[in-house]
Amino acid sequence: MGAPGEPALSRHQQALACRAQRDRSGRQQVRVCAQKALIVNTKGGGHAFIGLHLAQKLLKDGHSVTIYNDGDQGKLSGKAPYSQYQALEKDGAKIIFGDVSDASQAPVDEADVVYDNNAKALDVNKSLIDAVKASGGHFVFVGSAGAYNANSIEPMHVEGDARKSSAGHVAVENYLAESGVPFTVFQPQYIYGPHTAKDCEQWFIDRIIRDRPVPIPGDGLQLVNLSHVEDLANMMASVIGNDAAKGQHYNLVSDRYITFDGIVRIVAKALGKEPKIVHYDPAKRRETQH
Amino acid sequence: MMTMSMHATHTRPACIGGSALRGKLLAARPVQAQRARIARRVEAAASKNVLLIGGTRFIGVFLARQLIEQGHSVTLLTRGKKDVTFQIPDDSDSSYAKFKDSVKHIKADRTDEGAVKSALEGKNFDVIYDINGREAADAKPFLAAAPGIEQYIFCSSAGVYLKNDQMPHREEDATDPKSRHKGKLDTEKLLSDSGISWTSIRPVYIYGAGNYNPIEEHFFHRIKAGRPIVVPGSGQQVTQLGHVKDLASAFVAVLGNSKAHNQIYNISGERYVTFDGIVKACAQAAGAKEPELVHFNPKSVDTGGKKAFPLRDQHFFTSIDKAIADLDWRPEFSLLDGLKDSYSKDFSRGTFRKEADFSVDDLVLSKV
Repeated sequence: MGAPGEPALSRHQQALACRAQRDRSGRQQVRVCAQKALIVNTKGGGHAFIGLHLAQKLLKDGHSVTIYNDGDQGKLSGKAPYSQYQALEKDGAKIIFGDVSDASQAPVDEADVVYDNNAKALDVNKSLIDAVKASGGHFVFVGSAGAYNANSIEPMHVEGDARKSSAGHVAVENYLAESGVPFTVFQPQYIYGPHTAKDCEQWFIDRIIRDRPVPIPGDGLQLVNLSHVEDLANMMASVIGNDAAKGQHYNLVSDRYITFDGIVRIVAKALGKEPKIVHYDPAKRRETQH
Repeated sequence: MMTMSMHATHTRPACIGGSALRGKLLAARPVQAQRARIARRVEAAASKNVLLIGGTRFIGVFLARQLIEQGHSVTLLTRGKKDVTFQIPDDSDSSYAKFKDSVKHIKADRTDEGAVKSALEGKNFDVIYDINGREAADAKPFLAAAPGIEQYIFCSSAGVYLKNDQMPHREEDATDPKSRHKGKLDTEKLLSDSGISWTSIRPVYIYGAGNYNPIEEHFFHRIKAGRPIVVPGSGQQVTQLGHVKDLASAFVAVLGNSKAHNQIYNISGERYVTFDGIVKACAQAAGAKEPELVHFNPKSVDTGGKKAFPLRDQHFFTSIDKAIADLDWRPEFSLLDGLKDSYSKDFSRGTFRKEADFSVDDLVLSKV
């Protein structure tokens, strides 16, 4: 760090100094120096609780965390995941609610890393990206695996595969690449875990816990990623101080796929119940609806 | 033809900034890295005296050539029923001449313990590649005859994995004691109990010029005949094809590799493909238009045990992450490039292993 009388080191130089310590220590477990993280968080949907778990992980790692959450505190505080924010504050996080498309309200200047777990389109976060670039931070964008082009030959999406040019997320990704800001993009799929705002696993649990059959479209062999939010928080937290992550996209998923039928079976197993699956033809169902 | 990029072969719609982004992401894997990998591997494995059991059919054909190219001494052990060396489309006249001059041959029946013992006597093989062993008993004569070998490298099969809702299959996953590949599992156990250093490779579906398992050939026959292709179920079953040359280079990569000591590796292509996708890729490889796909319910047609489709009707694919991490190896062939390679060096020249037989297709089509 800067010696007395010398100008204070820039944030970048401080980060370098931290890294040098780690290298000289060799194999000792050395933590990356404490960073200041800003999480811009969405007000609902399958992503919403990423902010909560990421904040918990970053705090545990010794970083300082501010959540700038979109929406109205009064409306949101009663429901998951925002109902957990009081506990986060006790652990040292700072929480602000507001209109996150107004980047001037976001405490960007002090942040070493800004996680944008909100924007689905460039008009929402362009000014935020510009602000992070100006302040020398690392911009981490939570995009969407849904914006990959479907591939009828090799269906599993791999980083670098073509993205839907009309997708709002993709416009953000392209702007990040053009803007020169150090960035990382994460592409999530289906996420489950405590304090979710969306009924992913709940849909299955609701039926299985009541011993109801679970209606599954088609043959039930459709494969998806179903990922635990804490695994994803760990992955996202590991970009801090990690130069290899800059300029990269990462699919934000677990390392296994599971079939639709498989989800029923594993939820049933977790609940100690017998799985009951009923396959139906979604095309026929549409025909009979008026 | 080698390709480093799995993306180079697909025609993708343009997306703004997409190619620049793709270029940046792929910059981490330049072609030079592949050459450097081979160079490191050659340095790492000093020239070995290699015994190759089963070197004249498919995998062995390419493995023997790669080993000789890498400077190893290679002896093929066969019953001598077929020509031990023959020129293949991948050979140039000079490369084949070099191969034919370098490769050695021992004639013996691998199941005859006495014959194997005298065949190996005094030969001081460093490494045994067991490519065609099926049952544990097949490996026993070699373990007995060459107890001091540095490494026993075995060609197993991903068919040993127990069917699972969660995929891909990883090396640590449960195996199926009722699998028809049980003998491969038994051999892995024998090797593991033997005390010698062993490595087992589990391929998925292998393809390439000279394939004796009619996978790509099945589709090429029908594409050539302009026939519809019958596919069980939705056609969205996911599987994985691995080019035989990539499998051979993986076998080379484990040679003398301390990381591979007593390890199992899944080896196949880097990306997964659907049943429908294989049909489309074969058509593209053959330069033909996409054939008509006819999906059928396999339960509603009795084919008398004959196969209407060459692949098992289930998701079947593995993670090759362990091999990529440990072995400094990566598949060179994308699916499309690999099928083009197979087509250009085999089917398009009028060669194939099985005559076209569309009787089961006709049966299925009559019921649909």
